[in-house]
Amino acid sequence: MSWWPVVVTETGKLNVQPDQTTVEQDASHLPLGIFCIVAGLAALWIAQDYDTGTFISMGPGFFPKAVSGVLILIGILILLLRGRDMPAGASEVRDTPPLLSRLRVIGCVSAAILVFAATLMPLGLPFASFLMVALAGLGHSGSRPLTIVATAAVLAVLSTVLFAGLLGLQIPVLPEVLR
Amino acid sequence: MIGGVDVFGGMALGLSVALTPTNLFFCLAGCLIGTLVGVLPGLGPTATIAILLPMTFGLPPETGLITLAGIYYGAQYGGSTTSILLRLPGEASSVVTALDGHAMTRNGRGGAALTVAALASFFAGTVATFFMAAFAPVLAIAVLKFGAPEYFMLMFLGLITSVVLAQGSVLRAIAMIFLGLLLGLAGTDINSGQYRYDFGFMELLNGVPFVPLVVGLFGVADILVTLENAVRDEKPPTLHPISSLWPTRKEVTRAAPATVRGTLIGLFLGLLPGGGALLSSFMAYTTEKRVSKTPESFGTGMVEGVAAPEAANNSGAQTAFLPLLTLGIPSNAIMALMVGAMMVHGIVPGPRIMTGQPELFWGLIASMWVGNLMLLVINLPLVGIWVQLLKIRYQFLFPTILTVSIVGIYGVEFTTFDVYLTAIFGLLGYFLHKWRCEPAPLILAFVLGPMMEEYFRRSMLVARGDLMIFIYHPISLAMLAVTVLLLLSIFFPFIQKFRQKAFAE
Repeated sequence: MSWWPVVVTETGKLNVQPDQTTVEQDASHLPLGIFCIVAGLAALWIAQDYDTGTFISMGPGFFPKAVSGVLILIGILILLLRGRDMPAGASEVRDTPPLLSRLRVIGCVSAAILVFAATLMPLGLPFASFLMVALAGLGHSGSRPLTIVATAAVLAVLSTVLFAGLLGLQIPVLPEVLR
Repeated sequence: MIGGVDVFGGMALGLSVALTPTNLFFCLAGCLIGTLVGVLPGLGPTATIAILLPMTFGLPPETGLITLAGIYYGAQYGGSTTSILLRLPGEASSVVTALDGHAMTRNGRGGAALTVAALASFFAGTVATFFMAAFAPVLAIAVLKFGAPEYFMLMFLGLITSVVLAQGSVLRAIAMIFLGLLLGLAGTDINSGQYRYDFGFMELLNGVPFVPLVVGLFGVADILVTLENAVRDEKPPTLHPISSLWPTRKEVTRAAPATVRGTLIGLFLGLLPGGGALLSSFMAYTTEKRVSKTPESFGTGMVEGVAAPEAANNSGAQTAFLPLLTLGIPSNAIMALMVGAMMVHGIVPGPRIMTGQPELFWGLIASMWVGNLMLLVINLPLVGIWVQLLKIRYQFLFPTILTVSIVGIYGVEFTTFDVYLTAIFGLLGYFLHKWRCEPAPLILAFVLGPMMEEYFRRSMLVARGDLMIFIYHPISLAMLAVTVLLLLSIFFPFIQKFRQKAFAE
């Protein structure tokens, strides 16, 4: 494996050296707070067209507006508290793996699922599962390419036998051109 | 006979359902899968039930639910095995068992600890089954008096409890509740027919689909988090040789009363909304330490410290089904998954299940007892095999989990839209984990949200917009009082300390 993520793999394996891990202050409140505020604002903006109604006879917009409003407030509160909402003892710093290896995991697994969704119709279940497992396997540092391919092949066969065969689900098995 | 429901007749009916070959087979399958999951650390029961949910949709409703229930309490058993032998609790609820259970293993009494755990669980399971059979009809009749305000208050209470019991920050748990409520709002509003948050997708008109949400938040997010951390820790666990499985007479006489105490604690804590197995086992351990004459020797291999939490988590896991079956209200995230499973089968959880679908109701209860018996028989002789399973490498495990869950999701509605959604919710779950938020309150709020909105709007309609309706109705007032007490308790030092102690381990 002499391609891109190899650097990351080595860092992970050479983890005995403590200075190699990035130790940072827990700043999880920042993205979480922003996420709550943004999600709340977006929901509120979409809900502006929904009829609020009155307290006695509520319209479809009452709950969406109330819930997104509270979500925004919670987001602001989370930002203001700056992590002090975590109970004592739970807020010790966690070391995070290097950014590249994180991106690799997220990228490979998400891409695997998306590729499955995109290829299921045109290529059929065995091929789509093979591609999904192969791609996801790349997210696991330390797997050899041959192992990944073998795992993918076995799982492609198993998933076809299990879902299309035993469970009898209406899933396309053959590629579109052969159907 | 309680209110026209014959408990013994019900149990007989239940056994006749649970003992059919198909149901026996799926009960066994559920128990085996559950044990497997309990043994493997990192793959929790919530994630497994979520992943396997689609596969049970093709089965008849009773069989499907019996299988899911088997996974659920099988996981409680399996979790205890690895806690005792390897100090690797597969489940959060068996964390306390690891303290004294593993100490017993180091003292060369590991086999005895396993037997005590299994027998205590079986005892608790048996008591819980009969408790449910006797108590469910009473509850189902009481619930007929519930109106919209009572239902709303009960769900509100459930959400608040889940906040109080959530690990870590209370504020973040509340944030998760509101995020879940927001997700639950998507789809067609039943009163006005207005489409809400549909983003132009036909698929969202019935709301955000349940299975992609739970598989994404629990299954895919789990894989992402584990893969990321797997970089550092990949050493096979060291195993102490397993001693004789027979406990000594002295161990039995000490374990027996602890089992009874644990069972009782579990029975009642399991009933609480937001309660269940986790809280029960922690409480039982704390209680044993309190009543013991030698509290200082806990942690050095006290057999009570194994028997009580194991009994409690098993009876708690079972009675957690009661609010679901009688009130239609899930008390924790796993029960929320059960609601999802029932809805797919076209069953509306609630008091009408008992009269409308007695086979389902009693069959499920009876299968719990059958399942507990199966677990006792299969678990002890097979301990060696379960422990071997720990050697399965994650590089083979996670692709399997991924394949089963993603293909399964496609199989629910036969649309790739759900698969795309799963990827999105997987990422959301991953980030929520990074931001130290738990997905359990989110799922609970997602399931309860639409019902709460409906009951709240109905209450306001009945009361002409007067919020006092929640106070004028006595049952609702009582629940409101409990809710307020719970909210206050967050700020009390005692609970704070308990929370910290419970989650520090």
